[in-house]
Amino acid sequence: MNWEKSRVDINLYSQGDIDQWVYSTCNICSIGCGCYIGVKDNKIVGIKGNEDHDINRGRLDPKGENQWYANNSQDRLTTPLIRKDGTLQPASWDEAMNLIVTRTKETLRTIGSDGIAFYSTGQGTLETYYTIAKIGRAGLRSHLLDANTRLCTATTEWCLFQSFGSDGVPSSFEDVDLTDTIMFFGHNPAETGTVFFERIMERKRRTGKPYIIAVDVRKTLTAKEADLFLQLKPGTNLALLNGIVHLLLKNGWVDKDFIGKHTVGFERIHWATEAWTPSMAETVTGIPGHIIEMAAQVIGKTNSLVCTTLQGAYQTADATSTCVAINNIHLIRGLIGKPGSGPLHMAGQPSSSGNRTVGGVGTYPGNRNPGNPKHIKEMAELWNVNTSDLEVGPEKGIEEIVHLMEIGKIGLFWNINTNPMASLPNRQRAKKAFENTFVVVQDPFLTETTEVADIVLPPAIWGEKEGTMENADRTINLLTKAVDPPNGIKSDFGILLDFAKRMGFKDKDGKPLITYETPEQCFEEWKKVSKGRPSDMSAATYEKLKKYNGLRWPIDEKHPLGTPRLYSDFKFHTFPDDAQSYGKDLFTGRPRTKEEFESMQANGRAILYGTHYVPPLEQPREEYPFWLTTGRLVWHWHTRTKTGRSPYLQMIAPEGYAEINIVDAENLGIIPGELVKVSSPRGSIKVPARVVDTVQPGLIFVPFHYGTWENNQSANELTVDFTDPLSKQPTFKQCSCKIKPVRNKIMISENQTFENIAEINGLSLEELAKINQMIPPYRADIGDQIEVPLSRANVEIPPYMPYRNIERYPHFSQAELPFEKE
Amino acid sequence: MYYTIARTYQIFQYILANFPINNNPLESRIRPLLYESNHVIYQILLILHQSQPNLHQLKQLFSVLYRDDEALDPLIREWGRASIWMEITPSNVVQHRLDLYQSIQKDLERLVPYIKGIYGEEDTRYIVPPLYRKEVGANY
Repeated sequence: MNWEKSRVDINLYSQGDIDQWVYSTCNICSIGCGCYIGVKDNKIVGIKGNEDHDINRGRLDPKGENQWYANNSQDRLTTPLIRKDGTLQPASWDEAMNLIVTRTKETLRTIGSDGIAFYSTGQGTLETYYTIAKIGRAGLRSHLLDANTRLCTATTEWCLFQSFGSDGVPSSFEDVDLTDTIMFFGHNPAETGTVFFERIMERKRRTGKPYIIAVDVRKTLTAKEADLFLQLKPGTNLALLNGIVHLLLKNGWVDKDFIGKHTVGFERIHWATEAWTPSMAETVTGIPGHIIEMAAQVIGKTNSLVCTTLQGAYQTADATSTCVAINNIHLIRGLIGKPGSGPLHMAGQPSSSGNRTVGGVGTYPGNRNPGNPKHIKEMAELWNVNTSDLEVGPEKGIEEIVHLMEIGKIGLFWNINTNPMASLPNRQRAKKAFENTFVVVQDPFLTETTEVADIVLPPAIWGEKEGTMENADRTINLLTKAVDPPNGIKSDFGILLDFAKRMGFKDKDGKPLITYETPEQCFEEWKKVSKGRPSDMSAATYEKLKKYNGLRWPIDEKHPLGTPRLYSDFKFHTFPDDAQSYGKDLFTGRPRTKEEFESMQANGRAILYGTHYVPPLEQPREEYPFWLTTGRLVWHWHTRTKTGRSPYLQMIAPEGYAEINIVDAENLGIIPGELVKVSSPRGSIKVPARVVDTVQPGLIFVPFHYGTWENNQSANELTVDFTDPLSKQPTFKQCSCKIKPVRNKIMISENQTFENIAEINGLSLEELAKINQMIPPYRADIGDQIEVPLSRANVEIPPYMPYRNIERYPHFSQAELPFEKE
Repeated sequence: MYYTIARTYQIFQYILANFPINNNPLESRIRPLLYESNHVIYQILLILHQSQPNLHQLKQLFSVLYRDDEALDPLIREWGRASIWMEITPSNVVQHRLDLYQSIQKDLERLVPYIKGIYGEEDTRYIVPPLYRKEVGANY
């Protein structure tokens, strides 16, 4: 049972009573918390949690509590902008939309359908995504529909295709409430999904369950609460899992009956993990062998198991193989489709999985395989278009689209509610590609990406539009419109319908391709498209979604109130004409043909794979001796377009930083808060240093939220744009870097002393001595040059842990300065 | 068609004779794709020598060949960037290798009309991925 008690979190700023609370769903992380929007005088003035919503029982994440400030921000765009003479200038909607139409038609004539690419978001509604799918595929006949979900959870999709034949996370949050053991694998919910983590910790405090295993390169807030923490070297996830699977097999901790009846390919696992003894796994991962054995024993003997994954598993080397290895563990232990068991590959954004479900990114709507002629025919009939109008073949990831932009093969790039100039890896390369292309940006604010836009369209934000979202456990939640958007602003959905009308898209009978006019009408069409498919929503309605506070798909005649877990009948979507994809070779990423898929003879059984470890491509070396990893803070969301406009969140975490281990800081003479330059083969940034014990020696951590063009704090100046061969998700988590302090040199004059230089620069004597590698007595003579930090910042960021009763808990240990007299 | 395929085969032969170049982890992923492509092209050449080629088998082989190249493309470009960033291979060697891969892609594009001639427009869509066969599309 989830949550013993409800607790309604409220953040309201209003003089006098508000007019109403309007039903909605939080639009920040992937947990999908129910909420109400506070409205006064057609303005959003606050938010409160929905205590009747099972997912959160009234609780809200700190980012969720503060998301509404962006709605009222004074710098919201209220008219379209068109770049003229090098600058963005206000324009009418007619001017902007007509220019997009002209450019689209020109691209279709000169380059073809695949000269147009959409790059959308994981923060939109299913109705917007579905409309992108219909316009992009049936209208424009392009297959270049991607989204920032590529950076976020594309690996979820591919690991599910590979093992189970279709998208859709097998388990749900209900299983988390029942499980004996949970493994957070590269997943730090204490910061990225606080309500979800609070739910787990509340049960643990009450019942002692679940046993928590955390796997991470950093000692995260989640790891601090774990019963067993496996701190591994960067890029060695798969080595650890191979080591664990080796022990499961060796000790016979497998469900042979389940394997025999419900899986194919078991022999491949045995062969691939045979060499992965605890000793070998220890050598590669850095985790002591007996700790690996302990983890294997827990996983091998537990009666129920939920494994979650997130960016530490996805944005890394061997991403899809790692998540497939986790699926393998569930399958060989027979812990899937049962209460309290199953892989729970998470999402980062509030509706990234929704984009995949309805076909705005990835495959065709309703989990249809773009390589299967029968599925193409079905879609053509549903949309009343010719089959030849619908492009065949898997999607292209953003790195591949950036390449097409570089070589001039994209005539129009339409960017919807995402900020790739801050979020894409190796962003200077991406910037040049964007500058080489006609770019439309749909965003409520000026961002790093609007700097390279030719047209900017201002859309409505959360609270100003209606629709549905899909969270990380397949729950479809409803958002209702609380206020009108400011004058001059249209919804994303409305903008797309306008475009379709201006383009004159028609079906094969000459009737308009898009006939729905409201999100609810669109949802009704989508329900027909989904019928009979894994993500069937044919028994859902807006009214029902509101009444039951969200329902998990499939929501069909058989499951009118949704489905808490998939595969409870142990029937998987691996019949060739059921599968959403024929999959790819797990090692090379080569797409399989239909015949190759058929030859596996899975036919309703799950597929087990041998998983082969490949180390990260770019590794530390003499010139760049550190690993660099990037990640998230509890206080900010993505590139801070919304959270940076909350005074509260921005004050807590106003700027970027680099975390360095105490030992490394000692060796380099870096003091807490001083400005450092972090460089990689691609670029450099200047940020204050946080000297901590949460990153291991040899590793630098930089949060990815910060990244204006002028402040030089973007982690993505440094990252590599290598991608996973299956999911095409970039490996943000591993590259090489170097770090050095940025300092002024001061020559000691006759009027200065070591002491007053320390005082003037806000340093203690010990700190100044440390910087200059001096030992007591700290003597500096006239004419000596000494170094002082160019600047120094307070980089202490408070943690957010309500499950610890708001206990103040130091997130990191400041370096001690052990100078001893020799 | 035969000449184009034979030339592609020669390029693969040259690439494989000089592989790996810098022994980075990516080359372990690239290797099986190169070997499979090489093998598949050889099989295609053998079939094309026959007086009555097995068109079903040929279709499978073409499907694999294009999928190999689709997987190779991002890996090869990554290999190029990594080689330069890691400073382990002279840039002229990297560029030469990238040029060779590009010429393979051009050859695969040149083959598309022949494949369409054998299998027709509709079937070809399931053999050849979109970006190799794309023509100017919808016209509104």
